[in-house]
Amino acid sequence: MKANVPTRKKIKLNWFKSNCALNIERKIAIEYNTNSVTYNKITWDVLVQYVLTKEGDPKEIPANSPMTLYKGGLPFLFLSTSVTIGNKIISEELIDSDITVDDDIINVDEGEDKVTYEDARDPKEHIEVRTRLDKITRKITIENKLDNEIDLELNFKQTKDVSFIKSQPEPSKVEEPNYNYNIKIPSEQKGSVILDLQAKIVKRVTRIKPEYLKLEENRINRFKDK
Amino acid sequence: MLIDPKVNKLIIFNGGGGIVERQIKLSLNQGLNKFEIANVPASFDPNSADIQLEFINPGDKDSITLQQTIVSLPDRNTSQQIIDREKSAATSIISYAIDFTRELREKVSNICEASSYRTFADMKGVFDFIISASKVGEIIVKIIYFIADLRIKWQTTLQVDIKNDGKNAQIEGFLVVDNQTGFSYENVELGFAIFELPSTDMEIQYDNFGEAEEEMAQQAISSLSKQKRTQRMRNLML
Repeated sequence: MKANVPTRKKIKLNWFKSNCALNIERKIAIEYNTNSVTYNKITWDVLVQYVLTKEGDPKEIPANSPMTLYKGGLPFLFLSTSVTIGNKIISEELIDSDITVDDDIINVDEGEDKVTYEDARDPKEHIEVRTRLDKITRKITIENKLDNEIDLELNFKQTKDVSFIKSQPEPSKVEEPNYNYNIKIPSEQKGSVILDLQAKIVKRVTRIKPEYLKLEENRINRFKDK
Repeated sequence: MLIDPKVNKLIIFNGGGGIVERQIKLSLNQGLNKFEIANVPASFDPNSADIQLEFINPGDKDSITLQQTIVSLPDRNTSQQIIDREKSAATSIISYAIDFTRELREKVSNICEASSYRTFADMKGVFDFIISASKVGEIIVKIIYFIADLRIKWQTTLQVDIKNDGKNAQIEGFLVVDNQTGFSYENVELGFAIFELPSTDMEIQYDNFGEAEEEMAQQAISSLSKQKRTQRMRNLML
């Protein structure tokens, strides 16, 4: 390609023009810890990515190249590219503000405490470890405020403290620790997923050992008598 | 002898800078022939500057040889003083000029603007070479050098026109070359590469190393995270 590149000027050159297939990928990633699993309400973001599969030769497009999407001859979205893989041009991830996700707690069944002891630094003390397994039910409601139907992927990832029991509907794909749900939501409607989870709640308290507690009480009583 | 070889090819990096290829046909006298290349920017990399000889007559291989190249960059302090003086002169011209005619005004404002943008990279570097010839002859000389000037770079912009079905689109890609350097390139073969010139972060860190101990520890940690990664230049298929 031959061109003139004058000093202190910008030049614009045509590079390629081709048809492409457009795929809009929306994802919700959900993960809890022992604290957040008991929150009354959590809101999650829906991340959207535009994937363009180009016809013809692949073009290597640098990351962060500006991209403008036009619909009906008018620009409606300004974003950047994140990566190109072969003929696929993938945009950066954006938060889709037209889809809201509310995650509410429905039920908590507290399990029974199991008490075990661990050594403390002071030989007169020990650490009382209270472990219980709570069963928690949460409802994730997704609202589509767009004027078209959407497909999205909800991914619940279990952690060492919060594990999956069952869900309504069943996951579309399970690849532990990931539970994937492919959800279709018509325009201006809501969809939901109910998750039954088990949370391992561990509380640690350092206490004086009972034998030392009695000796301590005796010493205090003797002091009072005097 | 001062020569100004034409820039044939310019490969621009998206992270700034590029590779310049220049070419000229030269007539040689018997003995040593010294040439000075004009219009070499001070942003050129003296270590990677290269001269390649292309023989017009294959029989000249033994009689014509490149004896040496001589490269140097202008002194930074002196160059900066010259730039500052030019800038203040430009400011004075603009402040006191009242009755330039339209044509003159454009010329003067262009000169003033150019001087206000001038940096060390717009000064001239020295790139000379000596060719030894045992007989009179002609040769094509190819000159190649890197330019480490972040003010010349390229980026792509994409326009995606989504069809009514929402599943198909037409994509149009453009290459935007931004040349804010003081050098123009006329009718050159352009190449585009995805590459970023290595930064000098590590040098800056070592300069500051004499300070407080805590700061040293922090810098050591940050330098660990800034361990160099491989970076291979990728040419764009046009």
